[in-house]
Order: sequence, then C-alpha cells, then structure tokens
Amino acid sequence: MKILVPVKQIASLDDQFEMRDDGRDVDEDYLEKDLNEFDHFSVEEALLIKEAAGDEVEVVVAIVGDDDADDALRTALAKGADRGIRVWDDALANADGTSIARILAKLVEREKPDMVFTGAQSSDFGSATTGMALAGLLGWPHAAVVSNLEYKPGASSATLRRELEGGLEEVMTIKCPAVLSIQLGINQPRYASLRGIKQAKQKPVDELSLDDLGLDASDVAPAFNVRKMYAPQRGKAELITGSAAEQAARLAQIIKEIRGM
Amino acid sequence: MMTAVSDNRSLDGMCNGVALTARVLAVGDLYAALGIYSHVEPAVRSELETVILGTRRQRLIVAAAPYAPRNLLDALSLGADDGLALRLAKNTSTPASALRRLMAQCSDPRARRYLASHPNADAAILVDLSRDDAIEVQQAVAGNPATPGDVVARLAGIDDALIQRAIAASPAADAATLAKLWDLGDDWVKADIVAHPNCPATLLAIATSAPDVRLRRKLAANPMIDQSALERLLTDPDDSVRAAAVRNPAILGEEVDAMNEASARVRRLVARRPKLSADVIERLARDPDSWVRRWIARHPDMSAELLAELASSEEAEVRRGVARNSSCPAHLLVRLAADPAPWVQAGVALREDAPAEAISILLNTSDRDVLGALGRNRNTPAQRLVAIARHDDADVRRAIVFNPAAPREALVLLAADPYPLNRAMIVGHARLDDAAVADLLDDPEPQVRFSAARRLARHGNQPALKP
Repeated sequence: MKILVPVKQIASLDDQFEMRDDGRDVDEDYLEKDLNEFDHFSVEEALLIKEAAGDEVEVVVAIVGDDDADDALRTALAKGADRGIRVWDDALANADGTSIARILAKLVEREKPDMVFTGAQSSDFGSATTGMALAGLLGWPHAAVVSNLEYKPGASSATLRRELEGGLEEVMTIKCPAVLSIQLGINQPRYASLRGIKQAKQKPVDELSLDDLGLDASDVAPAFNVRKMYAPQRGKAELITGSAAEQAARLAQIIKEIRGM
Repeated sequence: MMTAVSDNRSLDGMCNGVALTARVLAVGDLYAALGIYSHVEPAVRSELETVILGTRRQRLIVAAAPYAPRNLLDALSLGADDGLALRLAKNTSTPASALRRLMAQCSDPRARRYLASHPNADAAILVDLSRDDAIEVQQAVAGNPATPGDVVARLAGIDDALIQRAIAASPAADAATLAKLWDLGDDWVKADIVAHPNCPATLLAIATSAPDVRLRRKLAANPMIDQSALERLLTDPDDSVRAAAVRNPAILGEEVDAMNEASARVRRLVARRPKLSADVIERLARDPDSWVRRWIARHPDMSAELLAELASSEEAEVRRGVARNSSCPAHLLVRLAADPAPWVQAGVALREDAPAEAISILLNTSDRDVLGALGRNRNTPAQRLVAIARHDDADVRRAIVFNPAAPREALVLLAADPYPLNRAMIVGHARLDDAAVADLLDDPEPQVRFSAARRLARHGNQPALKP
C-alpha cells in the first residue's frame, strides 16, 4: 500500500523586501524558502496512517523543483516518509498549478499509489489548484479542504469531513483511490527528530526529468504570465483608546481630517 | 580572546578556542560564525566576515538580525545599498556610528524615519533629522525620547497633530514647551500634557476641575501631582479617573484605605496595591467580585486565617492565588497540592519552598500544567525530571530548561529534543556540559547553531571538537 504526498517548497517574504528590476516578482535575495505549511499536515496524515498500519504502508513524497527544493523534500523525509522523488527541468521555472498537476499525474502512473494527499493550497501563491487538477487528469474521486479523515490501508472507501463556507462542515464517503487536499489543523504535525534529520540524508531520492516522465516543455507551459507584481499603497492605522464617547469623538475628528473639514 | 587560524589542519591538540574558530571557518556556517564573531581577535573577524557576508542574501539577513554583533553591523553600514540601509536603520542593535554613516549616505525617507526613531540615535543624528523635509521623519524625531529639549521646543511649533502628541509625551519637553503646546494642541494633546511630569502647575490646576474626563484621567496618572489633587480625584464621579488615581505610585496607602469604592474595576486595582491595611485586606478578601478576591489572594500581607478562608473558595483562580502567595503556610500548600483543580496544584508545584509532602502528592499527577511546573522546581526528584524531559508535549519538556538543578540525563534529552526552540534554549543551561553543546554545532536549526557557538566562544574552554 502506498500513499503519494506531493509537497512544495514555498517562498516566504522577509519583513522588508524589494521587487525585481522587471517588476514581475520579488527579488530572490528577500525570499526565505521552506516546506509549504499545508504540506506539513498532509505528510503527517500519511505518516499517521502508516504508523497505525505498521510497515505495510509506504509514504512517498514528491516535489517539483530545482536543487534548492531538496531541503523541503528532506524535511518531509526527516519526519518519517520512506523515500522521495524530485522532478526538475529548466522549462518548469514558471510552471503553474496545472502544469505541476500534469507532472504529478505521470508520477501517479509510475508509482501507482493507493491514495494521494496534497496540501489544500500553497502558502505563497494560494491557488489551491494542483490537487484538484491532478484528480481531474487522473479521473479519480477527490475532496478538497479535508479536515478529518478515517481511512484504513487497502479499504475501498474513506470517510472524511470537509470545511464549507459559513462554518458548515460536510461528512462524505469517497471511493479509493482518491486525491485529497488536506486542510490545516487536521492533525498536529510532528517536528523531525535529530535522528530523523540525519537518517533523511541517507534516504533514497529519485531525480527525474520531464523526459523520464514522457513529457516535454510544451506539456508544462504555463497558461498565464505575470505582468506585474507590486505592494499596494498602505493606509494609516491608529489605535483609538478611551471610553465609547471618547472613541466616537476621535473617530469624528479623523473623519473631519480626512475630508479636510 | 581567540586567535586566528587560517587553515583546516587537524584539531587534535590545538587550543580549543582556536579549534572552534577553525571549525566554523571550515564549515562556513553563517550562524555559528555570527555566534563567535564578538569573541575573536580583529584579525580573525575579517576571516569570519567572508563567511558571514559572502552573499547579498546573507548581508540582508545579518542587517536585519537584532542578535548580530554591533561591530559587524557597523562594518556592514560601509557602502550599504538602499536595501541594506533600510534594514540596518530598522535593526535596534545598529550602533550610533553606523546610524550616522547611514544618515549621510541614505536618501530613502523610510530609512530616515527608522533612523529618527532608532533607540541608539544620538543627539547629533536627531538634530540633523529634525530638519528633514519629510513630516514622517520629523514625527519620528519628536517621538524619540533621546531628542534634545531645544529640538523638542522647536518642533512644538509645527502644526501637526502627531508631532504635538509625541512632544506632549517626550521626556525632554520642559514646562515652557508644554505650556506653549497647550495653546496649540487639541484636547488629545492637552490630555497628554497633564500626564507629563513637567506639566506646569497652572495647567494641572485647570485639569483638576476640567469637565473633560480625559483630562482628569490623565491628570490622575501623573506621578508629580500633589496629594490634595490626588485625594480629590479619588472621589471623582467617573470610575476610570478613580482607577487611574489608584494606580498612581504617588498615592498613599491611607487614602486608598479610606475609599468606599462602588466600582469593582477600581477595587481590583486596589487589591493589587503593595501596601494595604489589614482592614482593607479583610474587606477585599470577602469582596463579591471574584477578580478582586483572586488578586487579594496573592497579597503578601494576607493573614494565615484569611488565606485559609480563600483556600476554600469555590473559584479555582482564587485558590490558585493562595497557592502562589509567598506568605501561604506549609500546611495550606499541602492541602492545595491535593486540590481538585490541576491549575491550583500547578501553583503549588511552582514553589521552591513547597514542603516535601506537597511535592510527594504532586508527583502522582499526569496533568501537563502540573508536570510543567514540577519540571521547573529544583526540589523535584531527578528521576521525575528525566521522565518530564521525555514527555510527549514539547511545552512540558521545556520546563527542564528553567530548572537549575536538572540532572545531566534530562539536559542531554533536551539537547536532542525534536522541538528546535527547546534545543536552542537548553544551550544556555549552566549544567549542560560543553561536549554536549559542541554536538549542537551540527544542528539543522540556525538558532541552535548560533547559540551553541556563542556559548562555546564565551566559555573559551571548549572540549575537543570533531573535525
């Protein structure tokens, strides 16, 4: 039994940052790279299933990224995943979620997992497309924003809970294999032990190219181009203190100042 | 002070301080290099700078790091570009020498605003920036407590509400400046003026009978107010004014005692005052408001009888207050150690003076709060501390960090803790030996490597390091 967990190395912004000269992205010098926050939860969910079932479950983590992405992959391996796969080609530099999903679909064909867990979204771009696009390409059942999961390895279905708008929750049964995008808070992700971190350096990582997966650059061309990225001008903020009457008076004063009265 | 090593020869038999430097240089670890930078000779620092400042990304990290050594930040300010200058100007550890350099070379108004509000900005910098064209920079200068009085007086003439409010709170504003500001400022500025220790007596007198509650409340907080005015404010019809008066450090105990206060909000503040008469303490111990009782339960002048009474309170927070009271007798601590509420038990478990019988009762617990408190207590048996260091909750395990009597076995467990913060914090434990700290130079977390290297460099008696 195998669970495939695609993960992503995301970029988080420093407190102060500058844009690239072409105005289409943040200057790389100001970016901190890390494993996507949502992926900590999807990896943990797979590991909990593995630990409950014993050695019969293999957890495989996969990432699309260059050499730098190895750090994120090793982070997942250090937590207890069995092996890793890293796919890279220079043609993937601007890949979007759907392009990544095409690569993952090929990986699923190759690995034949029983379940695929993705993070509900990435914390840098937040498109939330990859998991559901993958399910569409595979023609697999899928559920997004899963906040609780009951699944036993080898079972033909799983019961899960999803978060809906307005605070509603939905309980559903889904046929397996399936693609589930995992929501924050579904579990409490572990920290990798120092021993796990050392062991992760020895765990096998397959490095694959587009060619290895039977794809070429045209298969992963992004469907969009970023034209401009910028920080919108910020307004001012003031903490208004005092009694209700005093706060109302201050609010009135601010409104007058803004309107030039 | 360690000496220079420029090669990566075998570390065996070398001076250990030198071995540490050689290792850091050989590995090229930015954070370990930052940890030892201040503890090596100047010649070695330039070698470390090649490790620390090798890429622009690294220079940006260092420029923003409040833990970066000041002399390194000073070096970084030489020829800093706009991105670096902004971070250095914002970094509270950047020394005045670097700030002066940045001021001379930087035109970015954001950076100049950070320079103007910087805690290390000296008078010369602030005088210069006070003449900046940007109002945001002038506002920052006005709000900097180091701004000289003559600059504050000059800025008081600017028609800007934020500058006026900043000056009304400036320690350098004298009575003349505040009097001038009184005529220019709005009601909010006036309220800040009457809270100022240098506020002229004439303005204090106006505020005493002002119809505006803001003025009276701010006046009640002024530590320089005279006793008669304070007594009058203690009977003010508005409870926020009375609350401010009760918190005023200038108030005498008898005046508070004399209050027959109707507002629970004010009585809660009275219960927190350090000096209270026995009568007032007794009255507050039987107050209908549970917040008043929970505060008075911690009062060091509580009698044993009243503490026993509150130890039977229905509210766990009140009983917890008794357990935390430094005057709580031993027999009550034993009783509270068996309290049905774990939060109360934890209050006893935190006490170094808890009798052995109380600790013995508490050892039966599996509650996280109680275990966390026992983990900090130097009287907890060593075997139990080791068990706490193995607990599945990282917050419980972290208690070992704060226990000066923790055994080596527990400390070593914390040094291998999966939670990075626990490893970073245990590095500072006096009983963790340097050999265990040296192992943390390989830690995956930058914060841990920084702390380990800094500690080894400070000690200067490092054990043999693995090459």
